[in-house]
Amino acid sequence: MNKIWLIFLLSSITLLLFTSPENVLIALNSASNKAVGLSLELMAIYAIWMGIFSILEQTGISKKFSKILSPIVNLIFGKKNLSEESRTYITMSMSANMLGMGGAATPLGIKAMESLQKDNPNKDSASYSMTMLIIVSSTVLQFLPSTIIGLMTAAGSTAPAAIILPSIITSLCSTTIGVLLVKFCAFISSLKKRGKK
Amino acid sequence: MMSNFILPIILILLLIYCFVKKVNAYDHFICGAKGSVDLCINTFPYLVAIFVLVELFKASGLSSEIAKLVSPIFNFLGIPSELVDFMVIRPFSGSGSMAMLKDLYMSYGPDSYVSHCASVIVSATDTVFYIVAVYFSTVKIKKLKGTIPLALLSCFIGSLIACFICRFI
Repeated sequence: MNKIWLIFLLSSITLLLFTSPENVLIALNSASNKAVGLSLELMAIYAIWMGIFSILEQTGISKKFSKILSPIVNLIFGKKNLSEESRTYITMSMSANMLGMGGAATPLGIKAMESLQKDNPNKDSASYSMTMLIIVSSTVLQFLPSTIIGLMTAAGSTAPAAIILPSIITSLCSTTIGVLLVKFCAFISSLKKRGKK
Repeated sequence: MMSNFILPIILILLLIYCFVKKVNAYDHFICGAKGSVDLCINTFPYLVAIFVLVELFKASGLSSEIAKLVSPIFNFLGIPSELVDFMVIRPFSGSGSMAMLKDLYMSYGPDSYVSHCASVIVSATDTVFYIVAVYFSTVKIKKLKGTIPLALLSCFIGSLIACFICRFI
């Protein structure tokens, strides 16, 4: 992330230096302003979802739920790699995404990440399960794109439901490909380690 | 819409369950909601950093330059050229790509091929850089070990599949 940020900022500001140097400060300020706005919005959304999730946790429903979905999670993350806590958070985050509730998925994903860090032998670098979590979250496994359907309807679409099936197929494909890519990379790096020994 | 019923029904079932099992729903709601303040304070600096990147990226015209540069490659792979700008912004900014999605609906109509592709891409991929920054915000991981390229690649392949499948709608 360090390198990417540096490269993007450097090239953008250099470009602006030649085209419109006065816009640099404007852009910086507007960025920070937007971040404050979004943070407040997110704080509101997260408060609701984290409150609801805390009830779910207390009733024990979330654990039962994660047991039902554990075959899928095992298939993606591997059987032995997860503590029960991580497993619960990951399942809840994935199911929030599946129902098209992205706002609920993020705080759960962050909690899952914290829980994965506890089992991470090397605190500095991302573990296999962490990389997998990022891939699964960024290639959202979504079965009900409710936000998008709402937007399409608002824009006057006559058949917004037409995108449901393609969305499901696409998200299944992209998640599968992502998961396979991570597994493949982990396989290669384990081969390399073996080669060194 | 069917989907409008899902959330209320889940909540009603949950609250009835709490009532039957005598769980203090109110106390636990407060307890969980409290966490959101800490979470937002933790993620705030990461959000600023990402937004600075996105704003400068757009304001400098770098995003459209990159879009122009990769457009022939994207076209070759079957992605319509109207979508290239949108796809360049997608991994960086959720609100940015949503605004562009609305623009696409306005200019091509929500039932056009281009709008279908964009809608499917939005629902099957997420903002990679934002996710990476926010998810790692509380655990202080320094070495990401190829997480970003892998996520970008899988989202890109997903977008290709989206453009392919939408031809059959």
